[in-house]
Amino acid sequence: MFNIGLYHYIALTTILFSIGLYGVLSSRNAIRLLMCIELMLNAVNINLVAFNNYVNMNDLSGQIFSIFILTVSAAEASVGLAILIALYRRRSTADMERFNLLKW
Amino acid sequence: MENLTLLNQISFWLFAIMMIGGALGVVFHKSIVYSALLLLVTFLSIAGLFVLLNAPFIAAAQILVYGVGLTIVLIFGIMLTGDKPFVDPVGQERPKRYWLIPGVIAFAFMGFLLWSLLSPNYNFTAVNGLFLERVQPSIAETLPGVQAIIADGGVTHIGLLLFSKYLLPFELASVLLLLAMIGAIILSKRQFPEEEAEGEPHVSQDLDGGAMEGKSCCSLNEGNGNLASENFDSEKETLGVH
Repeated sequence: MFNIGLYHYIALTTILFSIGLYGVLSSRNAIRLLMCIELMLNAVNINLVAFNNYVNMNDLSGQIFSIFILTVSAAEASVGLAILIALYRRRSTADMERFNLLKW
Repeated sequence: MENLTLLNQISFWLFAIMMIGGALGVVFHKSIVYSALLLLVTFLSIAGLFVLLNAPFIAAAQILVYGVGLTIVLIFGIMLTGDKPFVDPVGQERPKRYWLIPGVIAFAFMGFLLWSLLSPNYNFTAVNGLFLERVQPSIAETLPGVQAIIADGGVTHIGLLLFSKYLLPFELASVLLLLAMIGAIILSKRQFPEEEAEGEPHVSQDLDGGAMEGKSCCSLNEGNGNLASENFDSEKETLGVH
């Protein structure tokens, strides 16, 4: 029970991912939405490293995958913020509800 | 060994509580700047979890990329998009039960995953048939990954893997980073109005041409001022400056 195993990490990352999911679905500030996406990506990262550590230690492939996720999330955050700043110039707000040009 | 296990458990629970608390703060705190700083707390706790998971290199990369880079970029974004940065720029007017549908979805998702985790016939042995927590330490130390971690934290092993087995994804990641950089620059570049964007190079061209014109008229046809001024005027007209 108190020995830390794979299940502890999976449960923890499930909770973290769900918090991030709730934030993505409920937040109206676009920057907070980006932060919540980062939370979800981090949960996946922990899962990859945990599975690598506890299940398959023949090589460190899980850590490589987490490096790739790190790269992609950095690129995603920079492009997302650039889009957000361009939107802010147009609309002068960061409210997700106001970006409704495609809503019919 | 006993002390190390106890230390491991205490650190795990400490980092877990810090991580969950920070994540809850990111979602629920009213001030968005505090949200960004709590996100930093979450990232640092995750780096601690990586150290506990025998991944010191990933922990360092986590601190460098997320803890330093991403948090600062997010705070830049907050400062650029909010009039009053310490208040949520969105404002407080929201529908009454806005949390209901997202909360139900997230809670159902979490409940389903935890339930599937706790169900007894869940079987990991298909992956590799190996749980390190149940393996004897003497056997575990013969594994290549464990040996790499013991040697230098896995840095050499990760580098070799990146340049042999995962070479193509590595190169694709570099292309992706380049594209993200170019895209971010182009997207966030300030858009000038149409007249300004077209007028600016013409003005500079005219200044250069005027200087050249003056020099040539002085040196070549000194007495013929009329012709020089006519030339200059026609030049101005062709350049479209009035």
